[in-house]
Amino acid sequence: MTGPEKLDPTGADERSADSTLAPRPASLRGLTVGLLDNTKPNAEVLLSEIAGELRGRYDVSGALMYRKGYFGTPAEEDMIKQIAQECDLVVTAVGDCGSCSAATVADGILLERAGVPTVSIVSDSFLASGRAMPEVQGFPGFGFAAVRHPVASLDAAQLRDRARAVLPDVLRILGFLT
Amino acid sequence: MSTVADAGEIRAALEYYARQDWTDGLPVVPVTESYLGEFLARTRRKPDEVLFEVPHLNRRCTVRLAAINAAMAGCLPEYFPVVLAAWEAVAEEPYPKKGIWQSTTGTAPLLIVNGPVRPAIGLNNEGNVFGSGFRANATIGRAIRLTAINVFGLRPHLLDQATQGTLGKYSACIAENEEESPWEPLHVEHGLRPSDSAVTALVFRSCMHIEARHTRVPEQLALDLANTIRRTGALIHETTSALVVLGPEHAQVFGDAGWSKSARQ
Repeated sequence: MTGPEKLDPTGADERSADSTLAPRPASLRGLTVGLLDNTKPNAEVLLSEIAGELRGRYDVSGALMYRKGYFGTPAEEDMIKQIAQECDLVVTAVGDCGSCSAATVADGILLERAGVPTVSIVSDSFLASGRAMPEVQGFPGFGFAAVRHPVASLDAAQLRDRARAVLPDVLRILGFLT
Repeated sequence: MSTVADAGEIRAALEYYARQDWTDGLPVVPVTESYLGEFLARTRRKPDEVLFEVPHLNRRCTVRLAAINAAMAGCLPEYFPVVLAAWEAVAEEPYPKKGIWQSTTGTAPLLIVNGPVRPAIGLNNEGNVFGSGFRANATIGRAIRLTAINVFGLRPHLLDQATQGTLGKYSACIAENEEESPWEPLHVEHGLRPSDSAVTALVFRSCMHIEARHTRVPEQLALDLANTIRRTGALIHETTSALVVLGPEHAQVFGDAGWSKSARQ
């Protein structure tokens, strides 16, 4: 193109692009898993089922449940700090809407930056917004897990199935070959 | 007859913006530093002052970015103070900063302009109020959309997960017909002077035409309005608001009967 330069209308990424994952544990045995409930229906049940699997099959010692203030935005800074202090790894769910899918992925990025290996879970209708969030957060390639949509309308048995189905991805993101 | 110096170069510039994905799908106006200067000259604010921030998207809209996107949208420099006021209004709202623009609900920001700025820049506030044909309305509303897309990265199918969206996502900027209203203007109702100009911002999902030619009885007309609002769905509850935009004839039905705005509400 010739002529005067056309101006860039996009917002610049001003945060330092820290895109380093937290160190992965060698084993899950005896570790404490944090469960970050984003307040969406069935998130707490899904997380409890996943924690049950991690305890029963991989000897995770305990699970602590946290509930953030609002599903559409990331967890408060104090909560991220508290979780990072109290837990060895985190699973957060469930991003089953437009704003909360991106926010759930953002929570994962914030927790990784705080030093905790974290698995963000969205529903598979919202993979695109989940993938778009790492770009604006300066963490391209951040991996997360997806369960089949929907989640909000499932019963207990169906939620258990979703938890079992996503477990291999949870373990892979935490650094274990399955 | 006017001639175009180099139509090919103009097309190339428009295609450049399209390739960058810096559009809402329609052509945008190429913006250079000197054209940007004409917008920035319309305000005393510093170019790097932040107007609106969405921390979880890691993005902020500065005066400079608002101006670039307004110019791209086709605004004239003299519209820019209205765009700035619109951003102030958006920043005051609770939902945009909480991620509503990413939501499946597919809302759009709706701007309402009051005061002497309307005739000064040619904002339409008479017939075809939601329609096309008026540069100031069309481009001021579009300036907000282009900024959402470009500055905040809210592209459809990606961070904007609207299931259906609304046509108002291209542009939604109306002005109040203060001259034909039986009531005081919206901005005066909220404490400003009639000689002030103001922008009010709302989040809106859709627009529904209410057909009511059969009555001049205010009670019946109020029932027609209420029934339509009730029909719009399960998410209408005590903290949801419905904006009622009355034509002068309907407003007069209430006005002639001595109903205030609050009586109607």
